[in-house]
Amino acid sequence: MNEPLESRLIKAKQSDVEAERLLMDYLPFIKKKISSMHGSLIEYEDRLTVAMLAFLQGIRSYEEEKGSFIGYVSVLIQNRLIDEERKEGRYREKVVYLDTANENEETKTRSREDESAVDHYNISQQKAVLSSEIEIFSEELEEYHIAFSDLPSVCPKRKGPRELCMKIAYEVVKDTELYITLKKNKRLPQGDLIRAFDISVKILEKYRKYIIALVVLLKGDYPNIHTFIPKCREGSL
Amino acid sequence: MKTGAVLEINKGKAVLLKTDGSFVTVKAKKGWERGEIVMFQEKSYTRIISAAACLLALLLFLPAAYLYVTPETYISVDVNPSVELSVNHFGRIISAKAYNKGAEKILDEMKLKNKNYEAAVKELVSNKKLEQYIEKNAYVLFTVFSNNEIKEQQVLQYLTSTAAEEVRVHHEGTQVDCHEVDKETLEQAHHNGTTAGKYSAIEELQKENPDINVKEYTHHSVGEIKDEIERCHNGEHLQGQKGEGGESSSTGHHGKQSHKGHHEE
Repeated sequence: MNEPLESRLIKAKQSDVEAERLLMDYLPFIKKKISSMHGSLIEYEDRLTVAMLAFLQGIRSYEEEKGSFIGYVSVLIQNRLIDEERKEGRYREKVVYLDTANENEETKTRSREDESAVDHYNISQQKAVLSSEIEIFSEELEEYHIAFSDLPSVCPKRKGPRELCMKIAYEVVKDTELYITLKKNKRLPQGDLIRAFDISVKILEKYRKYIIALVVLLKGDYPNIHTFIPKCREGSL
Repeated sequence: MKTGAVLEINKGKAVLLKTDGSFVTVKAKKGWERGEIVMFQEKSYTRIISAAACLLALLLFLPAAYLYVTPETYISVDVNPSVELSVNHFGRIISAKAYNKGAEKILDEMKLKNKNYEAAVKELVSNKKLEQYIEKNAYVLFTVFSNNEIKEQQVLQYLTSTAAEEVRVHHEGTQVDCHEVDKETLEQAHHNGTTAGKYSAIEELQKENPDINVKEYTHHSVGEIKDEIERCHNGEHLQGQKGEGGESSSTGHHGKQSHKGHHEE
């Protein structure tokens, strides 16, 4: 964090790893921003993911003439969250206004139109970036003969087993030997993991594909997809 | 609503990555594309299962609740005071009804509800106020009616042996009768505002003297009615000589009596 923000931004624009590091360093700022906003139609975890994606998008689209990065990304996060809340509000057949400041109506309408155009651009950009990460993720999974359509049925529905899978995947990512074994054999190092986590072969086999998908995700440069993983949002990776 | 990223759309189905790190397949909506952040409604099987479980619990609970609040057996204890205990399928007291003022005073200071009928009867016959009446009248009548024949016999067995014995031990020379009654007797007793025990005694008196007024005899103690039966049998009768006052009757102790069909000491 000692490095000036400007130079970190330049690096982050060129490197996903740097972008993710910057995101993690600014996670407390993002969380504070979310909690300062009213409106609770969307669950906190979902809002956090949306805000993190907006932050990453902010890194890509920020230019110096737009003022301070924090101010810029702050507006970006706010607009994305308002947009998501409106989508949810429309779904529930009611309009939700989160910004309750007493602005002049005309100015408000005009600025909304401007914001809307910028938001639309940002959302398309974000979609393109996320789509490209998904494409690469899909190709990596193919090496393990795993398709996206396989994952919903093998993914644990309950939080407990899901967290266990996350811990196992995290262990494989951290332990170079385990990771090399997985890359080489395209199979999980079952013996080591069974001993380390005191679990049965049956459990490991049941969640095998989900664990491998998590390993691929955690090991790769997927800053946008990482915002969907709770452990990444906690900044513990 | 949940938020997720579209990973793949195939044949109208979309694979999404949710913000809890799980994958889910949902029906793809028009306009959804890969990389898009979408909102979706998840089918909550948990809710359906919870609702079904609640319904099942309710279905299981309702019959049990019905059995708990429905009287199955009626036990009457008559000395004068007259008390009727309504007992459910599980042998618990659901209500204790007083049929005269003396009984009211006794029940006011007792909590018999939800107690096992055995404990309730024991508590009732050990009540200090009732004991005074027993001492005075020297006659106690227990009756039982139940929709369940087995239960009826079980209760009768308890009344004949344990409850009657309890009274005899504490009140030497007291006569204790126990017998079952039929549904018609119980209904007629309720119709005349008395217990099945007292009504069955009045019925017995009616056999000896068909001219008696049933309502009037509901105010007499069972001991007095038994005496009257005896007298009628011997060619005399009490009606007209006595009004209320069974509870404060000065009839005194009654000798041992024999009643046809009764379970006696």
